[in-house]
Amino acid sequence: MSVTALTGTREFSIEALRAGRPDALAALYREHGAALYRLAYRLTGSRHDAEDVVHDMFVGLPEALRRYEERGELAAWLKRVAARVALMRLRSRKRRREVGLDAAEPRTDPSSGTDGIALQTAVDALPDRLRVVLVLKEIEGYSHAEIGDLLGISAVASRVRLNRALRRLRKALEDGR
Amino acid sequence: MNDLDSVRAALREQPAPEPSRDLLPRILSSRAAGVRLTLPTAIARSAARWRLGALLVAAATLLFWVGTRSPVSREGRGAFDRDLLLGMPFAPLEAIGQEALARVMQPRYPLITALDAGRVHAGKWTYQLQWTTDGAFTSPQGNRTLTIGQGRFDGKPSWIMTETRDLKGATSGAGDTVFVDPGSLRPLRHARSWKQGRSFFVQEFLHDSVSERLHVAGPPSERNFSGNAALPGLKVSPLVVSWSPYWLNALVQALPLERRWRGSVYSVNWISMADRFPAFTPLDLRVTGAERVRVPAGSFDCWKLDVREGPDKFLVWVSKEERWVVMTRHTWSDEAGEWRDEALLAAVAPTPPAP
Repeated sequence: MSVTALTGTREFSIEALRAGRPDALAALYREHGAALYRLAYRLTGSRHDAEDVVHDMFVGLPEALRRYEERGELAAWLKRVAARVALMRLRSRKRRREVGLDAAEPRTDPSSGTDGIALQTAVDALPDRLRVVLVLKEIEGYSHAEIGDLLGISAVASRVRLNRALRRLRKALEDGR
Repeated sequence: MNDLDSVRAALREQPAPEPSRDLLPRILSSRAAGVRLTLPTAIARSAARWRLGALLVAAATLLFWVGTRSPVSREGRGAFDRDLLLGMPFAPLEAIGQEALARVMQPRYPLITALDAGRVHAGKWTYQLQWTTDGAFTSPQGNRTLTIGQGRFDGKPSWIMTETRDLKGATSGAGDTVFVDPGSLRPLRHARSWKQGRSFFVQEFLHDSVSERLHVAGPPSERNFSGNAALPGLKVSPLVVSWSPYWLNALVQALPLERRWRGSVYSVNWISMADRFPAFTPLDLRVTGAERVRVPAGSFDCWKLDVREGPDKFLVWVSKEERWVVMTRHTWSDEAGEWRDEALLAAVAPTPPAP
């Protein structure tokens, strides 16, 4: 089956991707790589880790696509896989204690302004389990049911985590004033 | 930006960087080199049910623990911390700028005092690393090589222990070296680098304290940290260096392992990150049984050790005869599934102790 049938005109097909053809992989990367990188960056909080996530994901994609059932949007499936790889990375990094160094790197863009820097600092300070839900819901636009499916938690738990994350953010921003 | 709606709006407008230009060539290069990785494309529902059950059991255990814990035992824990601080053979604290030991955890077992450091011998151990996802998909992660060799530090004989990694898809170029006193197995100097050596930390150990310099390279900017701290467990226990797997290869050679043996040592974390992590964490080791283990390097009769470092728990198999670390296994779970990472002894080149 061609991806064309799912998402419009594309330069590649699922069959070519499953076969691991470099031209198909490159075309897929050009179309989705940047978005997946931004998702991984927001989840891991590190450019280095985000690059590793996208690297690992595209390296493993041809084999993983053999388990892709083509029942939904390829872009959504890619994002779910990227989120899981990023979560693996978070866990692995925490176990190796490398989180401290990455967290020590300022992530903020000077063009963000004072409020933007304060917000990014507050987001960085959130525990992973809260930040992940915050990113998926408020930035990526997932529903709580989808986040629940993605993370293996209930929709209610997702809603509770988001509420806690937002309250912590607001308190951090208030305290910083 | 203090109401929730404006926080939400600001979050969506936060800028995010673009991937580097060489990312796609690296991906294609890895594929062309034969690198294959297993991705977590599904969540094991059984894992979620298992976690819920574990949570209920943990809650019941906590209620029982709170209900049976006496005020005397809580005072005992505080007394331990005070004793630990009072037992430090240095004075005054501010003379060498040491930081307060804010969160030194209590070891589970008696600090190790019986140590036969003369049994430690040089060698080179290579391990195959692999991850298993949800008990189904096993993915090779590359190799790790640990080397223990003879050297000199500050004009005296020492062990030089190094770790090198050849991890698939890795870009960090990490390296790790520690000089160790052969008599006590205490570290003398520990250096670690990553990002092709542009980021590094160095820990210098004195008799009673450790100082650290940490340099984090950009992008987006370079940062430097430093710190000093007093060492816990002096006089009674060897000290080990955390995050450096070779400590185990040296330490187990010197331990009197036998059925039901147990003991604790302290590991050193980042001193200059003491506000993020405890500077020192007990490593609790316990022999839980004996098993015959088959790995790429062969079959070995092993002691099976349960090792805890703070909240982390992993299993280690140590060959009874050679005292080699034959296999390590760390299992954990999170929202995305259950993970297991293992290091399997693949090759060994031991240098026997001098007669």
